[in-house]
Amino acid sequence: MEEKRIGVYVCWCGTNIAKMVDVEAVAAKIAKLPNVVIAKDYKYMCSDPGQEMIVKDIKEHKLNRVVVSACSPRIHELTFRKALENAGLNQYMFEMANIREQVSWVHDNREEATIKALDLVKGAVNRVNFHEALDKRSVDINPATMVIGGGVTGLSAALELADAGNKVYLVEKTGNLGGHVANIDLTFPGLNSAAEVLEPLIYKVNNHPEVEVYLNTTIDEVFGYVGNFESTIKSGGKEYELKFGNIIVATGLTPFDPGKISSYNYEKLPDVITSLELEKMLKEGNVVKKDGSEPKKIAIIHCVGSRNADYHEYCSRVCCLSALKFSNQLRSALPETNLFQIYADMRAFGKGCEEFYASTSKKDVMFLMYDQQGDLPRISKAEEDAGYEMGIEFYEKLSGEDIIVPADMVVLMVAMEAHEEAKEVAHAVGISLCGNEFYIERHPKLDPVATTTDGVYIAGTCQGPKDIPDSVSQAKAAAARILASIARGTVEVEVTTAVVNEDVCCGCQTCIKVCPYTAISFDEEKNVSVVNEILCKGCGTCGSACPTGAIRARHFTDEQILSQIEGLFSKEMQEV
Amino acid sequence: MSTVVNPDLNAKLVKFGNKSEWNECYHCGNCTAVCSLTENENLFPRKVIRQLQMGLKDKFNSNIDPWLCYYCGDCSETCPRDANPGEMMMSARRYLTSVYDWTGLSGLFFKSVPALIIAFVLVAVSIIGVGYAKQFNLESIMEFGHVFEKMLIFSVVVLILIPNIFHMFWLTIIKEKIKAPFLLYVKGIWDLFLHMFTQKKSLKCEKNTFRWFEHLLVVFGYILLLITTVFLNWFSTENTYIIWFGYIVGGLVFIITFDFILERVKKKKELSKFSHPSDWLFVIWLFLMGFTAFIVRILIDTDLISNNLWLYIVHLIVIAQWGILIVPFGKWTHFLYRSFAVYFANIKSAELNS
Repeated sequence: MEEKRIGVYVCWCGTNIAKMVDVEAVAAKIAKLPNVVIAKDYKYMCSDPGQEMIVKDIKEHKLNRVVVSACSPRIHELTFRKALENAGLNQYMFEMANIREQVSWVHDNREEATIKALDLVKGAVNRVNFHEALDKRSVDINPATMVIGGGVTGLSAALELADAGNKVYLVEKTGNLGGHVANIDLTFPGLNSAAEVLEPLIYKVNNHPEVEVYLNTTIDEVFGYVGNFESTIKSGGKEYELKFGNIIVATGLTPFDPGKISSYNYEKLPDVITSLELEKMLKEGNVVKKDGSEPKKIAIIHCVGSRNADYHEYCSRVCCLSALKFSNQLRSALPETNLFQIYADMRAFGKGCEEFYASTSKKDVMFLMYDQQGDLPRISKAEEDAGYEMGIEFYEKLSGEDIIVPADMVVLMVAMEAHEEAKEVAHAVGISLCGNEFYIERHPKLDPVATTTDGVYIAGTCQGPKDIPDSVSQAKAAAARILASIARGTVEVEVTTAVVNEDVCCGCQTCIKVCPYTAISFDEEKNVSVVNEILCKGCGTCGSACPTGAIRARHFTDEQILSQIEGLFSKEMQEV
Repeated sequence: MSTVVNPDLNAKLVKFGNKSEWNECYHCGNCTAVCSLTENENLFPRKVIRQLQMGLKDKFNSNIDPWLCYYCGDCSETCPRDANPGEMMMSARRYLTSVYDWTGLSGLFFKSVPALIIAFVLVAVSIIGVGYAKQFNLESIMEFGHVFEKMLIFSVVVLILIPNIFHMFWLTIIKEKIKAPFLLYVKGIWDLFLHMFTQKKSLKCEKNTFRWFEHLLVVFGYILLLITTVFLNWFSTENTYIIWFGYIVGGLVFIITFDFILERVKKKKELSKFSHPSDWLFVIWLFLMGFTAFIVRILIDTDLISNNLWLYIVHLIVIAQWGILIVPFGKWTHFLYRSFAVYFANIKSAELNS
């Protein structure tokens, strides 16, 4: 067996680590451990000179294992793995000890912090002794894509992919394409027709040779993994077997039910309507009360179901601007009508939106602020001779007055909720939801359209409330990600997966029950479990559950983990 | 008790000003933060704008705050929305003047330029009519003029100004349920007159020092000119001191008002950027009064008056228009309302703090 030659590098991270950990002492002590050939400390290990130092040492001292003791592996593990590869070493012959987030940033006793840092590095050194070289794996990508949801997001994504010459299966639950945008009259802030946005998209999708549209169709189950998914769908009484390499989930939103807020008396008072109902009236060009007469005073209440701990804490992001849009439309349609905006905070972010707010406030609209933290406005029927139909009573925050807003029609700007069937779709494609039922992205900032499942992307309002431009941006971003993988032709997959030792496996199938990625299947013939290495994420759950020790997680073997624990708790070097 | 909001008040106030972008205010509070005059008990201009935007008419009508602002213009200059709070306060003062006036003529003249022109022409025609009735005899016209001035002052004070001040008192103190002991009213009298004649408070707006001095000279010039012409009989006296004194105060009035007019033409300062017809009338007629009086006395001293009787009639027309229209129903009233506002505000805050 080859001699183990370990190099250990302790990072200062400027003063981030060095101020709380005696890095020089750590390096000096670690150098005495068996198999450690060289131990150094350096100001910034992640810098180019830092990495070059590792590469140089690997060549000079014939190192075959490296430990870097610095920040979290989430930040720089890949950086150092790359350095190992550059020096001709297998990237898995590397281990990282986190002495910044886990030591220097959270402790205030320098001596004890240094001992803890030392323990962590000891564990890492012990572990790296047992590391094995692992090979890369790649799979071919099927260039077809399934898009779930035929709203403006799904349509945009489908066209982007199809225009590049790739097959797209567009699956829509309802009988029509267009989603919620189809019910909108005008868009903000330009007051352009929503149909002008949507109609060309629908026309192109319906007539595109590469797009197959399946209406009135839902997805029950998707099998496979990135590059090679498959699913059987039922559409119009027929069954279709589809094979595709990637999935875009664009299931969209459900409007909040204002009946949940009792003080608004929705469906109890005839002329309390939702923003969607007003949208329909505007589209038909007929804004009237239930009795057919013209409303003389219209009040618009913001944040109905949004930004309130009792309903949804998040902001629905489009209601403020939609409400301003309504003011503009109503001002043109009913020039003599009094308009009231009853808002919690006016949020007019986005291109051209603050300008739109400013120009709307010139149009004889009364803006009144209610207190989100206090009691919500109460809508009640006005007295017979009041001269208006309903009174909206609340504490007006900017004046400090308790007021009543007279209204003949009240419009509730209802919140955006995730689609009511988001959960079923999430289960079918193997992605997760965050607390508020929207799909969770891989990284909120750096990877906003990918999910933790490779090959499954999310776009539009199913990821969180957003307006049309943001939804379309996400649709095109997801499509671009997929086009990049199609262009590459293959995709590299993580090799730190589980493997079954078929001689030891007793066929109890415990592992199949615990696997969160449905990556293990059962081979009836051999009576053993089989791991699908593409689906396996290497979480190790099966390994810990296996009663016979037949399953081994690569790069997280028992001896690697036990030796690391041994190193952590060894009595050596308890003083600095 | 909740108040029903009234969206019509804003539209109503627009008629009292040249600008109407008050609804653009989104209540950042910057205006109140930069204002040198606002205090805890009197928060303006933001609070006033809010009452206006929401149409809290009763509160707006009972608000003294607009009178406590001396329009330095800092608020308008620093407003991020260009909502022009300074001009809003100015328009609020015009509106409140019409609220206090029991005759309703103030509102009519502030809002309608045609009504104003008709009234000015009517007064001018009446004076010419009087001249005609007196067969354009210099002495009898001058005699009439002198008696007319005294009668006019008396009737305007008794019939218009005193009732209107009481109306203001009723709206801002009684209706607001301020029950101050009588002693407070007595104690405040000194302050009332101090502010009436000096506008001392406006010195707190740092930029205003020169303007304050000009204003002070005009106030004293105007009052002294009034005394010289009406009570010391400037136009018929032989007393050299009185004659010279009249020249000085008359000159003071028209020279400084000429500067005021120039500023309004130049529109350089925030204060003079927006001129309502009532602002123009006020400065121009004040100028004309001083100027025509000055010229009339020169003509008397040079014995040219009998050949230039028309000039005296012009002077009389200016005086009549000023006394019948501008003093009781126009901008002149700020002389009283401002000082009474300080007086009432002091009583109010003393009462609220006790």
